[in-house]
Amino acid sequence: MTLTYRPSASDDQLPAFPMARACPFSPPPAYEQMREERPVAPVRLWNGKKAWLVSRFGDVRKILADKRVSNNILHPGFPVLYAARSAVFKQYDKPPYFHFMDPPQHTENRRMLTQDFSVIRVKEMEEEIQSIVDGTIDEMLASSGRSADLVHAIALPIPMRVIARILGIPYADVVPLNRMMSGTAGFSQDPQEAKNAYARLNDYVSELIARKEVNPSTDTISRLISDQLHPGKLDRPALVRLIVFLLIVGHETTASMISLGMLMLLQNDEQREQLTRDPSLMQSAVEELLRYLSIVHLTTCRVAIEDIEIGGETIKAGEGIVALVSSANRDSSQFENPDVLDFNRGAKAHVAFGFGVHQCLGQTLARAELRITLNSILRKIPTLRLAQPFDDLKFKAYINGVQSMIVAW
Amino acid sequence: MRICVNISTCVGGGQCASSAETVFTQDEQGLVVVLKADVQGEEAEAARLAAFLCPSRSITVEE
Repeated sequence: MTLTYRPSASDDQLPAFPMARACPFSPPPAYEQMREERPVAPVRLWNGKKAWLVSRFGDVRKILADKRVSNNILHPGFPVLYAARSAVFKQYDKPPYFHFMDPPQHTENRRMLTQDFSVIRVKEMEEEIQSIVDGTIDEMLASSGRSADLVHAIALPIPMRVIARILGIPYADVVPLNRMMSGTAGFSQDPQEAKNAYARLNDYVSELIARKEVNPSTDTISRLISDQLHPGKLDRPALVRLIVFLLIVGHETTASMISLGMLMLLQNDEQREQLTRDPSLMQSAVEELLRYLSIVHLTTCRVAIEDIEIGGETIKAGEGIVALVSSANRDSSQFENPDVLDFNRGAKAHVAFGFGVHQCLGQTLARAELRITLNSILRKIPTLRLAQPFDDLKFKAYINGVQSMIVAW
Repeated sequence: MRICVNISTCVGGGQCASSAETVFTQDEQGLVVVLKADVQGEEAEAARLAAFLCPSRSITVEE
């Protein structure tokens, strides 16, 4: 095995993080070596700060559930992974999104939304999701020619239309909103452009809230206005940020899973045919794709607020931590033959949605969207194929995904 | 096997209600509700998985 992680005694020579992938479907090869040799390993970030990578399944779960870590992105020791992200968050003196708060504030804010993403609520929405999926696929099939970019024709619009339906965003606003949000995440992003993208989103959501106050409906935004805004539990800027956050986390991750998952299926004939023959296998296939692809591989960052002994190292209070969920999901002590995509594995115990109290709130919805979308694509477009050389595909690095992907049928 | 939940730490992830649907459900706010506190066999197996998956460690099972 090539030595890709070279731990050094000197803090000046720490390896740089994030690390490069060798294959778009798999985490950087160095993670495997870390799990074996240095399960809690120091690295250097873009801003010169040191952070600790936690790479084993058990340790990742342990650290993400540990009360001695904080998710406060404004803590000076918190590992922020790129410049534009730092610029966006530096505008605030308190964490702007509840995800970056700690209990009890985190719990209180999260519970304003738990009812919208419960198992029962998602089940009730399944028919509606199916009709959004069917409509979106039919639109692609009706467009000119027999080819399209699957990312922009299917993967991005579906989750956006679903979250828009939950929030109560007019259907006509979905496409412009998708364009607005394309500038909100990415390593190479210009910091000023990122701030502008968030500002535009804030303006849109503020206006939407004002309209909903005049014309309330049964949607989530209307409920948050009457239950949280009007009684004074959330002020107006906090409500705006809550909605902006839901829009961001509610679409890009699921979109990436749809496109990268579909790409994986197009590259693996045997697995695709297995699913075409038996759509009931899709539920476990979705779990396996979530585990295997682990697209949200860099957002589980924390800062230690006390000294923590883990994996033979001491993480000191104030030091940054990155819990490598993509590495945990390939840990052979938890998953037999972890690098094999196996839909019969029953891989529900993965950490693709994170772990601890900040674990993804929308995971039940995401699972339903993925199952329905992938099944519908396979059923409605059995001749679907990748219509460009695989090696020409361009990938995204922060949330792992494919930028565009020309398919034909 | 006996099941206990801590409602004060529940974050409504729904892992319990989806992995052991005859044992757990969610209330109107999306927080955990135990449907059966004493379970055997397959339900006990599912409840053990739910306790393992619970992100806020709000479920405990006593053999």
